[in-house]
Amino acid sequence: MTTGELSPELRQYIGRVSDFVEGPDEVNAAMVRHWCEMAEDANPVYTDEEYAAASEYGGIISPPTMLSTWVYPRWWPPAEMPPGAGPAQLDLPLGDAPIPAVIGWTDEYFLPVRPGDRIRYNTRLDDISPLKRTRLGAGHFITTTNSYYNQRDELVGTTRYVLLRYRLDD
Amino acid sequence: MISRELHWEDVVEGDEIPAVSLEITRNRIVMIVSATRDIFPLHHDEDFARAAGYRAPAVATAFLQGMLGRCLTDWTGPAGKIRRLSLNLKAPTCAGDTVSAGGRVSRKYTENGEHKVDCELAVVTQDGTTTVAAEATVVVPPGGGTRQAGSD
Repeated sequence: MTTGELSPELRQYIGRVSDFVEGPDEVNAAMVRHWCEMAEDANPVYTDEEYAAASEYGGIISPPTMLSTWVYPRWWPPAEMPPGAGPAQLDLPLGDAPIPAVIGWTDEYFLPVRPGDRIRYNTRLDDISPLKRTRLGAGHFITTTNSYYNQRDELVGTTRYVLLRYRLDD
Repeated sequence: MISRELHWEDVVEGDEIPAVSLEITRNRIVMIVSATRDIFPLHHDEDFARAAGYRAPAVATAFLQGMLGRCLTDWTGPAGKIRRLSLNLKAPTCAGDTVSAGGRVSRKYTENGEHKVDCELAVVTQDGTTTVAAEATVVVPPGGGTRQAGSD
């Protein structure tokens, strides 16, 4: 149920694309191993150097599902980037709907990602809905797409997020 | 070590993709935060999670992707390539749950010279709640070790 039209203030964000943000670490075998431990994933192209070297990849690759992890911000110190750079440029004035919930997450993988790669990404705001009543509370559905590139400017994959920004019902 | 090597010719629409199961222990909560780098308190802080209306800390979506990805390549073997993985989050997956990820083959086809399989997957908790409904497209190499004539 729609409770109103999208305000011009919010509508102007649709189609905006952020600057690029580079992941804090190059792709590396240690973080790949930590991921495989988490999921108990024994795929040898992720963790067995000898097997991976003889495979079509010629060496270890990252699990494709790790893609967004490679650009996750460092925990400390605070990222050295201009205030508002990256996805923060797309921060919407949604003070009345502060709580985020991931509703949908669609990855597409185009190229293998390997130790030594440097991954960077930008975010496009694809769509934002008018305020709607949902099971969780009143909120906006926000669709964004991250595009991930390696150091050769090759598009290695994308993530399309559908996020609900909502407020609890009174 | 994964020894199985699935061939595209052997896939039948409707085939079961065997489920993998993991218990979301406190240790695993720590491993998930560490491996995904997602330190948002909902994923590890009980007080924060309860105040936000959750029954317990809810795992990062990236963990569910990792588990579904593992389910797919456990099934195909290491030559399988995940091209697309789409998650529809139905309910939180929380600390204390034991979850299974599995599914079935929905479609088999060739496209741009690649041998593809579409899959319908789900993550289900111990009490039968589906927390994630997912779709995936995987490239599964044909058998014989050589490209098949006319496969393009």
